Amino acid sequence: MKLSDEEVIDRIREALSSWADEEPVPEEPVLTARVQRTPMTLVELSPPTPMHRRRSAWLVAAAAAVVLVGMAAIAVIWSDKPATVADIGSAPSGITEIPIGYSFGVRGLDVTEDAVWVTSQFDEELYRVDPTTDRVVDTFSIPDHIEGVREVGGWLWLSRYEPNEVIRVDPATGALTDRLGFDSQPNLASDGERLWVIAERGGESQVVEIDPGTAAEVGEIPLGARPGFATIDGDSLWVANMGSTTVSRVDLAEGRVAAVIDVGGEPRSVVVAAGSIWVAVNRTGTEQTGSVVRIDPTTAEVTATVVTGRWIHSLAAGDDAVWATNFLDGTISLIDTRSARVVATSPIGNRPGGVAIGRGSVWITPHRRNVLLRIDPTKPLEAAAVPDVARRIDVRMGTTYVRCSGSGRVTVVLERNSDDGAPWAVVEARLSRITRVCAYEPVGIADPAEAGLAGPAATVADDLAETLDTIGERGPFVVIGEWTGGLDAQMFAATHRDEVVGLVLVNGMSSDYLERVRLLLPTDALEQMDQTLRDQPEAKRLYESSTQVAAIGGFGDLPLVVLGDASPDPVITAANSDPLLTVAESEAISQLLEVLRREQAALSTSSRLIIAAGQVTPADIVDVTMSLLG
Amino acid sequence: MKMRTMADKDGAWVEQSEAVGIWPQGFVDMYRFRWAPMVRLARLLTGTDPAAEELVQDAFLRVGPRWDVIENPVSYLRAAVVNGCRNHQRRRKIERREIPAAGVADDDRFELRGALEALPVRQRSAVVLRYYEDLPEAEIAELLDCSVPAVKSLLHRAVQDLRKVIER
Repeated sequence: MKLSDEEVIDRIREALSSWADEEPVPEEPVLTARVQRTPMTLVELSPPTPMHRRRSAWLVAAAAAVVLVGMAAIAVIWSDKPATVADIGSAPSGITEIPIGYSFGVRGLDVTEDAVWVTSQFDEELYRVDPTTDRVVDTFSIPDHIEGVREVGGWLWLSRYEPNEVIRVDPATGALTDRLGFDSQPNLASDGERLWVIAERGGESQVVEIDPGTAAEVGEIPLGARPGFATIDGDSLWVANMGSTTVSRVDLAEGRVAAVIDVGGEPRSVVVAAGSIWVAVNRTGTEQTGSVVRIDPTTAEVTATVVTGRWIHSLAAGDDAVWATNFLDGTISLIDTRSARVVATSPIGNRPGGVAIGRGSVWITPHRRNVLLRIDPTKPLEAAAVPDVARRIDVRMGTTYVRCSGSGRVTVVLERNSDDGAPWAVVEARLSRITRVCAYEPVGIADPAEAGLAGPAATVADDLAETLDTIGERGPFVVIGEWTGGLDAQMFAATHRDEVVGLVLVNGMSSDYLERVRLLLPTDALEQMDQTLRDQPEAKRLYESSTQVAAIGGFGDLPLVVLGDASPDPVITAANSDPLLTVAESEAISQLLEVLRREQAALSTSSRLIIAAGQVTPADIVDVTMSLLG
Repeated sequence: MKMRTMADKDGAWVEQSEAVGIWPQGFVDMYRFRWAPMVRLARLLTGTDPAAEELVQDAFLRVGPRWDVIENPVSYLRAAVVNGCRNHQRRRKIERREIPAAGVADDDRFELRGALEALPVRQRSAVVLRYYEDLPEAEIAELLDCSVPAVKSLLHRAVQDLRKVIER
């Protein structure tokens, strides 16, 4: 086959755009909670709750992206306030949220005797939090991409990129006293007295010692590998070699690299705990599996590997414990250093990044929220479910993922396809203490590279059945579906009626929702909705699913719970649409949703319709599900 | 523009409400409309690196404070994304992903996608900017910090490599 350049380029264009669309883009992080120009912008900038950011994310994303009048209004109806920890339930009782900064979340973190220092590159500020009162007591303006922060020798040392510098700041005044330039983004390592900078300089990767008192360089050691994060253990500096699969031990007394150890994946954070070196190692590829690798410092050998979650961002060392933030899972794992096992993994949400230990607490900087999280390690955290099955299953031409935990007569099946899994992790964790739970990710979600293979509801239901059969789950099942996942859940319940003993629809999309909402939209909104739907491959699947589910008719006497958010104020919703919907139109959409819920509940002769006080919480889902377990 | 929480003289906590300001509306709009497209661009440029979202956040971070002085915010934003992705790639050794294994390899879309991912970073950047972002070569040259003939050559080499995969 011989193709012209134009034909080749057309194919390239096609491949690029399907690659770009293969995974839904998550909502933009909240820009600022303080935008108060007019009341109508208050809601617009809030991200939808993760509970709603699932398959339908494109609906919401499209709404935000293309000034989609009607859909914007609908999106707002479905997700009208930012996610908070309160939304994911009340349980993480040992977590305190300290509001900090105002824009894109917080990054750098250092905990000292009398202060917690936090950096925000977007705010271009350095914050000092008083750990006694949990309040921000100082805010220093520091422009240009500050990231890391360490207090050494009574001074604050900050690392920044563009310019690639380490700067010294007076902690009392915030005044910048010194700056040291490098050729790559510098990383700081300190034992509280000595300070080392790991960075490139003069075409060479180096470990540079700085005298904290004078801010003068006192020595340098060539590293011979890309500089990454590092930690000091006595006379050894352990460096994660970025972009490689190795960790180097630099002998600070002899001034040379004494060992290079392969850790089997890309190393990130390194800490010292219980006499060993612990390294966060992430594997690339679709799974992004993160493990913590233990190295014996005397033999320089890997002695344990502990899988924690997807893509570890940072580690912190406590007494007999290492804490790891699993960035993509939105969880934190606690590793017992003696057994080298994960003893707890807990939902935190919002892309947990930096983690540090001090003042008897574990501190976390989430990248997607403007809070500093303080965890009391003596209080029990919400435990993530401990699966006895967690595997990918080949079905048709794609793969699904299923994870089952707990035991009981009835198995609850959750379709889990959010990119920030914290709320569902809470539902999963709590239900697993009561009965058996299987969290399921369908084809296209389990492996984002297979997004093009995602099928409509009937296919998802078949795949789910095959998946459950493969791992030997026989039911009876209670199926929970949320928003578009509700279509899949209805389909599974209808096609496997003998095995299903209950159905829970959480803000579940009705099969005629798309059709009926059209009738309420003004012409311009309708045109934009159609345009958006035409452009979205996901839309075809959704229409197909709707048709399939509409053909079901009803569920007879299958126990059904329809659980929904309280309707938001139509005045606010109308004000938030752009261009404006009238209040009457907004009200009509709200009313339609209520009608659809009632109709949904009428699909079974044994049903309940429950409207939450505000938004549905995991606790609500757990409660209604328990009522179906019999 | 910022809300600061400060202690008053008695040590009580007050919020300095007069300090509350806002982002320029134009920036807010751009943030809403450009967030998703820029994340997609960053994913293509980085080969679906999990850091793509953060790189885009960082790019907005450049634009926000300079909103009033930037002439063409969209170009500036795009340049910030391209630079951010490039620096990110520089910071890490680029691991070429394997072309998806059997099972999906019979579908040429996946093979082409694998080949795109496996292109050298500069070639892929040129291809993405030209055929996904539809930018003129002169603008690509500026973004990639090279000459127009160099862009042409990057594109030519990439297209010839990809042709082999497509025609296979």
